[in-house]
Amino acid sequence: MSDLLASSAAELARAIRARKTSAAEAMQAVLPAARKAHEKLNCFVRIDEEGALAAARAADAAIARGRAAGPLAGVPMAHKDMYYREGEASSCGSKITRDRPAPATATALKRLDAAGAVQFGVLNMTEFAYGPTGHNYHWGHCRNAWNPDYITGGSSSGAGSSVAARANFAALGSDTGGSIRLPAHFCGVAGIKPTYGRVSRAGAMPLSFSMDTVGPLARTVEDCALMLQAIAGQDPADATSSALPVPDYVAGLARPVKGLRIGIPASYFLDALDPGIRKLLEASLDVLRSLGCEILEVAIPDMDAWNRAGTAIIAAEAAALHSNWLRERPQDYSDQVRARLEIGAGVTATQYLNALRLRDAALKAWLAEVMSKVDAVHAPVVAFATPTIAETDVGGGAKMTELLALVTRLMRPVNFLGLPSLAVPCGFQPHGLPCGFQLIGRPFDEGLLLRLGHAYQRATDWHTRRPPA
Amino acid sequence: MPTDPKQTYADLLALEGVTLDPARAAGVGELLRTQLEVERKATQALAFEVEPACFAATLRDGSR
Repeated sequence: MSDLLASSAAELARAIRARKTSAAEAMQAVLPAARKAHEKLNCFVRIDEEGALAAARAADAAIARGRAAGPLAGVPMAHKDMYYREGEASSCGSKITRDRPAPATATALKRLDAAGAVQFGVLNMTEFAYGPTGHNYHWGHCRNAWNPDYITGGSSSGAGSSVAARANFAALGSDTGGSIRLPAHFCGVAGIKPTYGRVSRAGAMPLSFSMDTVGPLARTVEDCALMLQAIAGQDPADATSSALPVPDYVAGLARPVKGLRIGIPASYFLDALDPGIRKLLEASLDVLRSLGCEILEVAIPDMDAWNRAGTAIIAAEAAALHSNWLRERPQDYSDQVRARLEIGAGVTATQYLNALRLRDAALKAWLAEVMSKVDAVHAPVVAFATPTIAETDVGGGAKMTELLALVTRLMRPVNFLGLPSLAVPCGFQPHGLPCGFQLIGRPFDEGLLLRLGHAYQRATDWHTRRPPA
Repeated sequence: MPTDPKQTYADLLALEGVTLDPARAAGVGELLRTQLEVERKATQALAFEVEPACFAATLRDGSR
């Protein structure tokens, strides 16, 4: 293959299986790209060159011996630094856990290992995954591959930035309030937040056990399907993981999308939408319409209360998880994360429990009023033009709450409802930064979202655009 | 007896062993007050019997 870094994870895996290239060649291509990208974008926390090359050579040797190559055979990957590998420290973007060896390997990592992926590093992220912009005051802010003055989104900041920069083929992110979809939008890559319970959270740093989800960011929707296929499914180590069978997402990509009904929300999601983003979203709907999808406006319930209830749940659960460190090491948090944890410590038990009780009624209303009429909802990821790192550098100050609420406004209700949502790049804003849309589906209907996103990418070329070197 | 909400909030956190940054006390109190008001409105129609565990079943039953 002439330009390995231009290929998707799926293309690379196919080429390695066909012996047109090797895992070692892929690793030798990605390691210098990763080093170079890191200098400019600060997207990695650690790169293990020797270990990665040895693992890639071992993968090649296994394939040469005739061992069945997995669906991700030999594909180099680096993941958000919150997926534990036994005996290694995961910083979780913080000062507190940077030297704390993990007791066990995350189920998602074990499953990617089994699928043949080769991990070569760990990625920068927002401290404890508690922030949507990509700022990190301990490891340095992660920068956008399309313009390093601009935010990457968070908390899976290094995942979005490294994949966009062609310095990583795919990455595990996590999404509690937008942390996969936001970096996917800001960095111009694809990312899927699965249904709550679809992917095991065992061995992943917790932020909010009622809302945390594990999912991939990658260059294409097909890559996301491959990754999700590898990691989805029940896990005895995570009591909240679902027993529902995992469909064949990859085979499902080939199914037609003609006749699928896509809803445009009549309220909330399109409020105060930036004109540049509106234009790109409308163009993406034209593409879906040209593929035979039926586009219709759909009335949606009031989401503001759900957004606030989701905020209360995350705040309270994060504060509970961090209560020991918040008492003993408050100075080791950045101002913003400490301020948010202090807010969570003040959420009353009644408020928290009522927010959890509201979830069931909210989901029933969403299913009855929205998903009975459409197969998926098409919506923006954020409503405003991508800001710079400097413009959003508010720390824990007075502007913090307003800014964070604005960034996560279109994300958090989806986490509150536990629904799957796929972010897909759909062009560039007037100032040159990427833009994506999200497709929100029924519970456990990731397959349909992936099918729609894949059909969209087959009709467009936004996912093939590369940021400036 | 009138109380100072920001002091009450700081006292509550102190009972949890958390020292609230004084610069943030007033803002945090106000934020929680607004939050509670919205949630009170949203949850007042909830049936008496609803419990959080219902959500997982609705999620499962909501799949195709």
